[in-house]
Amino acid sequence: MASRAWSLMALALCAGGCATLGSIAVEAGDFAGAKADAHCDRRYVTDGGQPAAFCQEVVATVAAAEFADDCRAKHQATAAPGLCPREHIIAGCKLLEKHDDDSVAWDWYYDVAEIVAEAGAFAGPDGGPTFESRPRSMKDVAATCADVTRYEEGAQLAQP
Amino acid sequence: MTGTPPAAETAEAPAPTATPTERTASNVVFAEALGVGLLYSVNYERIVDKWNIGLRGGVSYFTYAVSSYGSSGNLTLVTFPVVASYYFGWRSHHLQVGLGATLLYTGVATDSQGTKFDGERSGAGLAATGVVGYRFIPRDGGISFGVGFTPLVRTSRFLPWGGANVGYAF
Repeated sequence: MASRAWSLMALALCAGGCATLGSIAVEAGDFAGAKADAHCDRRYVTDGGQPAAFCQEVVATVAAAEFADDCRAKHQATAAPGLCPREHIIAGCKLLEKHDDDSVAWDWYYDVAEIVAEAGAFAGPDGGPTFESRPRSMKDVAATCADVTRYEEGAQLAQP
Repeated sequence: MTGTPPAAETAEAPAPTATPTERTASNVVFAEALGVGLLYSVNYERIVDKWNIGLRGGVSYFTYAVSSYGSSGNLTLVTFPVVASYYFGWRSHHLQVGLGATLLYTGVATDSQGTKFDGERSGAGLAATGVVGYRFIPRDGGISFGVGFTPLVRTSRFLPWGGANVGYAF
């Protein structure tokens, strides 16, 4: 009930300028400590999900819980607090898209040779490839970062 | 001896020099948007007229469903601002200068599996705060209002903040 009242109040306030109010709320939330880091490791999936050779991390977001739930629901992947594991990273892409809460997202691409060696090359759904695509070098990651069909708002190559 | 007596003997006592009337409304309850309570606060303030000071305490509670997934936990923010203010000015119009502290509690959101996403400053914390602003507090009671600069400071973080309030003095 209280939550509904807040939602209604938020909607009413939105009529007066949601963007400004949103940034005020984000500032207040940041000051209070409501921002956290979270990651979604796409290498490790459940329920027949398709593994991917990267992990996405979001730094300083107020929506860490939603991000984690999305990770599991949409990708059957492994979500957890904090940054992505750094072991076996080849390179990453820093996403340039702007988020309402001023958070920053990164996709870190991994050398997944060990996983493939252990699980086999065709451990994906319905006997498909374990990883549909797997970058093997920084050059491959750089090409992925530059791919506007993958990163519509652009991305920059990054080192861990 | 006839005639009128000297004026000094018959005149009534002279009227006292005009002085501001004493405050009869020493209590103020008010709501503040933003301000030292961060998002909002509901407050009580006791005005001590002879020292021109006001002692204020307040509370705010805010909870929000960060995740739309069922069984996920809300983000919760509770604040307890306490401020001592000195009021400069005449009658009901004041320049307010105050110092205080805001006790903060941030309960971080959990995802649908119950995982907590703790931030660097989540949990309980204390912020120092100040107030510089205009305040109208009628001496005989009535609607009170004000606006001011209300910065907050806590470890390695400064928040330039402001607030506006309206309430009732009685």
